[in-house]
Amino acid sequence: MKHASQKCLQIIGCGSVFKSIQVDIGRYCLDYGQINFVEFDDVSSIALNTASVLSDLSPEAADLFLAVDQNALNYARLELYGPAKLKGFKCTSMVHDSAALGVGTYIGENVWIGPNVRIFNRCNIAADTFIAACSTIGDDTHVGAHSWIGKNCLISDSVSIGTNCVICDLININAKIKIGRNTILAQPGLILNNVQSGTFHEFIYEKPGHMIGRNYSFSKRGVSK
Amino acid sequence: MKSLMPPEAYIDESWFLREQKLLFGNIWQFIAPYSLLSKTNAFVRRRVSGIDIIVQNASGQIIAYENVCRHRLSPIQNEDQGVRAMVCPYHGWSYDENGFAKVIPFENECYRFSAEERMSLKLNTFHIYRFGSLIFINLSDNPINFYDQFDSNGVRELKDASDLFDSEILVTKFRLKCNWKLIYENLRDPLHPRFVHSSTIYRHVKFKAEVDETAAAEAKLFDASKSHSRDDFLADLRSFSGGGKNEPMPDLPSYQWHQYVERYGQDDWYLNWLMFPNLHIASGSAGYSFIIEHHIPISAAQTEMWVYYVTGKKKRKYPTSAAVLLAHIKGAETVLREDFDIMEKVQSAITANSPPQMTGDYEYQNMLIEKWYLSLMEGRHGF
Repeated sequence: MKHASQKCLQIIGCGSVFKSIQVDIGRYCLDYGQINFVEFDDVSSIALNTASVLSDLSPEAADLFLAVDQNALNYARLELYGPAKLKGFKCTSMVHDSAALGVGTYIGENVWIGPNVRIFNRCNIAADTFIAACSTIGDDTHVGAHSWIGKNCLISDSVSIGTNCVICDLININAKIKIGRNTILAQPGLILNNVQSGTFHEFIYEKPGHMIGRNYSFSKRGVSK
Repeated sequence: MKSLMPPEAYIDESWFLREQKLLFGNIWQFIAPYSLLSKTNAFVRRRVSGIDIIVQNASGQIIAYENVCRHRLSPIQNEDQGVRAMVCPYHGWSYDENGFAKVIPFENECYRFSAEERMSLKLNTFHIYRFGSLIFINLSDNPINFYDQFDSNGVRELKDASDLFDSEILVTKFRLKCNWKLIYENLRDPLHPRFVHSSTIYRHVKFKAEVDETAAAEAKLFDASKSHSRDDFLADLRSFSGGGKNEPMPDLPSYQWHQYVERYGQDDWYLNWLMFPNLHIASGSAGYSFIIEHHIPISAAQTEMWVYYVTGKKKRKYPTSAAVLLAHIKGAETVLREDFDIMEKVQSAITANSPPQMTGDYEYQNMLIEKWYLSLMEGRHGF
């Protein structure tokens, strides 16, 4: 197996995270012999072009970082991440050198930790999750896979965020709150109560949109997994 | 043609209350998709004709009750939808599937009702009809037969289509500052999309405004003051609901999720159904997914719009199903906002002194409904 410094890193994606990494690549302390950028035109071209982009690469020669903004509950990024993992690629994580990680905090693969992010102790940031600039995550918090936390968020201690969640900019989540999977919180402010899976808090709705059906409203009491 | 509809019909609260009684108090109205009620104790709470109503799955039966506890008039259910037994949160009274008070905590110690009083502790119930995957309610004590109101090829097609609705559904609500009739008039106006939706849905679906000469002539001949039989009155009502294939969609995009769901029909057409008075169901994906729009009149100048998005039944689970529904509702929201904007502007322009609307022959459906509606409102016909 090649050491990372002998391998190449392919950064594939589009959008604001991709561009911010491109202009700031020197601050991610990466140990790769070569770093290449492959940019898609937009998210709609990802599904169409993923196979051809990956077919030009081999897991032995290249690691990947898949940089796609939150779109459709992060499934646009998953359209890259899923096939890449099936082909056996290792995905690296990117932590900006101005970010700080606490003791015992675990970072999964293909995680992006943006500038000035603070993640306190014993947190678990699952794979394929992006945390944007200046956000803070308290002790013992779990962020599920394929999620997105926007800029200037404050996630307090012992919060649980499910998979495929989008927490947009300027949102504060109170301690011990549970946010179910497939949830969008897009209105800046304070979250004081648990949020059921499949809830879409966005400006466009007078009341939040709700997914109804198996594993949503019909789950057992509390937040569905 | 000069419209007979007075401005009061859109802005006057006393007119609105009369309309609630004469029209909405007697007809079958959509209340919710069945998938919201498929589990025991699943419920939907809506305000219909000013009545706080819960429709609940009570041990497998779908029952509609007035959402007012007989003790201190507290609402029994407080969420718009969910899964919860019929128990009042105030003092713990529970109700059985017939609406009778079942368990009253500390009944003998604290309430000491007589046998007669105890027997009277029953919630008001309403008639329910399940049509495919759509649940309808009728507030009348003696409702008309469901098929006296809805019976056409288009309506039967909608039943078949609704049987394909998946159990995973996205629901949200909008509030419009306009009279509910502006919405149904807008939905029956095929000319407006080229102006209002020119950069959105009209790019994909070329709605045509054509004159059905026979129907237009019939609409003009309809004499509201003439004494029609009740059968004619109901036949006219039935003619207001229907739909099906609306316009072809030659550039229908293909998405991966299409292969995971059942499709209604095989043709690349925009599907469009209108169930008078206040239900609109459409498929902008030619049968792979559906939007259900339910317009609930709140006041003369306010309407609540419940929007549901659902795909065809899943052939197998796929991980992006929530994202598919989310993307659909966001696309639909853009089109809906274009309609909301124009309808709210129309509403704000209507005053008691507004001149009559001048409708064209292509609006023959609205003409016929208008005359039928006025014959009801002016007491010449009734249910």
